[in-house]
Amino acid sequence: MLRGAGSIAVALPWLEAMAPERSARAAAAPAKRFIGVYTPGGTVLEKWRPIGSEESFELSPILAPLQAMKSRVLVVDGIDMTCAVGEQDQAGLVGLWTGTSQSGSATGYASGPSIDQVLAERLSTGQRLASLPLAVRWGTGKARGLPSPMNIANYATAPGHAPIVPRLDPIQVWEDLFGTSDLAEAGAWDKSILDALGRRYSKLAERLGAADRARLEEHLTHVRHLETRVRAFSSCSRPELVDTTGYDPRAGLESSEGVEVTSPTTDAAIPSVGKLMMDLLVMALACDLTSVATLMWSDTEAKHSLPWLGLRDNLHYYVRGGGYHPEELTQAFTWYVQQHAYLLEKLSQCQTANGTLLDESVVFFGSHIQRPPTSGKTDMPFLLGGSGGGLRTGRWMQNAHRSHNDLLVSILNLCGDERQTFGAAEFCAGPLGGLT
Amino acid sequence: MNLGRAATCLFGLSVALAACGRTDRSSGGSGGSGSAPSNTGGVAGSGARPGESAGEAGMADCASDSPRPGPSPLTRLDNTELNNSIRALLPPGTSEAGLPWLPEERAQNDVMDSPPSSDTVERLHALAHSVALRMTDGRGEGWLAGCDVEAEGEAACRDSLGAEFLERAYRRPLTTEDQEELANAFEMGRKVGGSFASGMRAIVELALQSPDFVYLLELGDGSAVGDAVELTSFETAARLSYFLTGGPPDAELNAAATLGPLSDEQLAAHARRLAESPNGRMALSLFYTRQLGADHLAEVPELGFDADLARDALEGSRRFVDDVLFNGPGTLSALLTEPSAWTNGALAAYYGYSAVGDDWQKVLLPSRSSGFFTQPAFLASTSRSSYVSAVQRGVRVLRQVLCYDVPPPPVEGMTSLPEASTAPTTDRGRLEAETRSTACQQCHVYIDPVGLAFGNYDAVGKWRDDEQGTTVDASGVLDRTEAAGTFSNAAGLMQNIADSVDAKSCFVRLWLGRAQRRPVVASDACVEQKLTRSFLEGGGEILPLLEDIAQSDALRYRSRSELPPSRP
Repeated sequence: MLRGAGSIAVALPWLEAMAPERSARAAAAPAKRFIGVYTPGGTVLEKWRPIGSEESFELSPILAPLQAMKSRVLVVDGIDMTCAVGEQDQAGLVGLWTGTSQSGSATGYASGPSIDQVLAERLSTGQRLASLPLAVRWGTGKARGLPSPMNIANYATAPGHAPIVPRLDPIQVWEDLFGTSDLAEAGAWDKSILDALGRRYSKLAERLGAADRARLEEHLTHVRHLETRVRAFSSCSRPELVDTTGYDPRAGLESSEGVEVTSPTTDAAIPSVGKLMMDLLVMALACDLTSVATLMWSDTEAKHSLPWLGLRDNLHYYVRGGGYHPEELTQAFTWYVQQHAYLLEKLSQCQTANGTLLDESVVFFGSHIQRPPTSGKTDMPFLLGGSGGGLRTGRWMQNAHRSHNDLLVSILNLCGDERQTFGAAEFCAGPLGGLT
Repeated sequence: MNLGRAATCLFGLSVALAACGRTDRSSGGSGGSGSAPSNTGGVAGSGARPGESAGEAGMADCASDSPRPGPSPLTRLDNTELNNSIRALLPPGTSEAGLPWLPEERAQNDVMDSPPSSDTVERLHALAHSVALRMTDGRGEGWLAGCDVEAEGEAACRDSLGAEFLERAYRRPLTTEDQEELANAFEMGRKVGGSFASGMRAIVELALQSPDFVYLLELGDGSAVGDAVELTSFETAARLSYFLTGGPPDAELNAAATLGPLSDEQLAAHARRLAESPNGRMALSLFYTRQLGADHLAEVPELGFDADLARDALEGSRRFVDDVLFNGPGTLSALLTEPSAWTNGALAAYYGYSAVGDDWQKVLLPSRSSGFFTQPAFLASTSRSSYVSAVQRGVRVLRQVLCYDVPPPPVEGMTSLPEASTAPTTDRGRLEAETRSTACQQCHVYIDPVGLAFGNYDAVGKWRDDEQGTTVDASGVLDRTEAAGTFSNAAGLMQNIADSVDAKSCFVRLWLGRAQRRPVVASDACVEQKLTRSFLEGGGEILPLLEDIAQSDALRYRSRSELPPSRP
């Protein structure tokens, strides 16, 4: 706008035609990866909920381990899992990633696909794995190690929406994903090609006249630059295999209600196995094997102890079985958040062509209930992490009893899927909004 | 008011538009020529380069037989040419689907000033990688099936398959050095990838990024002709082929080049053959459409002009150009004045043409169309929104069709403006009010009438009889130029332009620039004059012009000074 002689601002639209083309304010690129994390038992809300305001808040005790990563998480508060109709615990897991109610009787599965499977079709095209569903210390309690609505959170997209059993054995996952030498080669291949290419350009440049040489040398600098980036961005590497002796992925087969068969060695290995599973997850993404992964820390039964925290009874005991034990639960839940902080940190350390894995991902962390003694599912303990799709973190977003279906829709939208409903439509009011 | 810029504007334009001769336009007098915005299409640029003086190639030199080639900077194949070249290299039966082809855009011929971008290098890296994978993935009747490794051994298959591929990729016979590099590439690929296939993969992946493929390397055949070095037959064949088809020499042209230097007759014959081939027709019509129109039209949602229509509009103009060149009169005049358009169902519905069915077809629009510049591909490319920019239209036509030097507006002069409340609402009224001042009129006396001649077309080229309730007034006069005359609308303007010498000489510059892969400069004067004379005498027929260019010095020589001194 230029000011005329009489200080009247006049728009000069024709001037715009001479000006360089202004690109439309670009929307952020859609998220390239999705990660879902499940923790059992809900939370202790008064120890979970931050204090302060949306942009300026203090992390509560349970969320305190995220202090260093605070700017990369969004506490999504005030979300109710209204679709969780069915058995008090099962319905929560059924609905967590599907937004559907437990079908049929109180022993049924979900009636729709889970968000990770939907996103796998969009994000993992051309990759070796559609998705990587993982679980640690899974299949406890009444399920006895077998798939059941108590422990399934992933559901297929194909009609029928079959339950998907997560991968349980970290050694097998390691072998499957990283056992062959393929991966180490991908980086080596690129480097060799670019190196040979650089030599070709410099050799030829010497044979040309001055002006042509300069042009070729300019090209060469780009090749060299690409080489540096390939080297720097080869975050893909084989995760270190740790000793998981004592960890029985199928230990759940030994649990049963009433007869509380425990596996202390398996329980004791949860921290190291959990860390290995997280490393496998991150490297699967860094090595472009897949773009979608989920990790379950046990299941809705959670009939395992946490000996490294001094919790000798199983988690379910502290949740409800032996009465509500908020102090012990706070310890356990804080520990899960600490693991999550590790996951986010690892994602933020993996360079990609345009940033880090965390920059390009949406990470959804949550449980199947909020309130342990009652399985209440209002004000769910949900976190989003990463910057995929323009997700704006470093905030405590306080919603007013919005449906978690709407949150799932918004997560899909962040990943470039533009649908407006997901799961059971009657629980959808429209995308949550406010995430970017 | 800053008279300096205004004076520049006046001086530049009067010199540029008053005369008919070449030398005046090449005189670097007009300060704005070097800073023309990118939408003028660099190839048909005004020609004056900083530091170049007029009359460098005086009339006297044209009489001499010795070739005096202008600059021949090393040029990279642009994205369209790279895509075409890679397609030509894919073994028969190999699918192109799903490969990360390079984004196509207008011919990037302003290479004297533009270095290769890191984005292109990276994209080519990804494309080469994917193509190499596809060629060696062992599925079906692939490339590797052409040699029995078990029977003949890896080295023999590496050499037979690899050498044939490399020769086609490099567009010339292989040297011993090439053979060595081929073996090295194979060895590296075999080692890192662990198989014969990965060795072959490395050969392909390297070749498609190598300078011998990506650039038109021209080292000449060593024989000097005065200050010029003659290009090898392969180098000339490549220039010819990329000029006319945007792709590498085909087998027939390659065979001719293998036999020795290409004569005038051969060049003319191949030029005609290539121009009329499917690739040639596509490349030529696409080149003109993108350079004079656009390579991409913006969507205008408020007018319902979406991406599909934008794409169709460009294709419609391309088919028009193709039809005029290869099925029609084949003259510049026809390009500028033919009252027909090519449409499909969607365009017909949007623009109100009477078409039958959805297929592409030609429609006659006697009262609403007059050549390329009354079609959406050009008109929509001058708009950024639903707003019609007569100034853009005027400037584009003056610069690109007449090669007139129109400097950018002097910002200092834009201080006095009409008050909003009294501003008239038609495009003409508004423009007249805004460019009323003497300083503005220096240039706008030419720009405005030309731009407003298109007043019957809205921002996306749809016909309108009225604007804001009044009948559109598209009349005007363009004087003191070669295309002088009054006109009552765009058709009249285009007729005046089509009759002018300047439009023809500008057209020659466009194609000569395309052949030489850089804008025409003063040292091209002799070649350009000869071509222009023939073009004028031939009634503006385009295919003969292309044949003439093929036989001219444009494709045959390089200046000796650009090559390193030869060894004694």
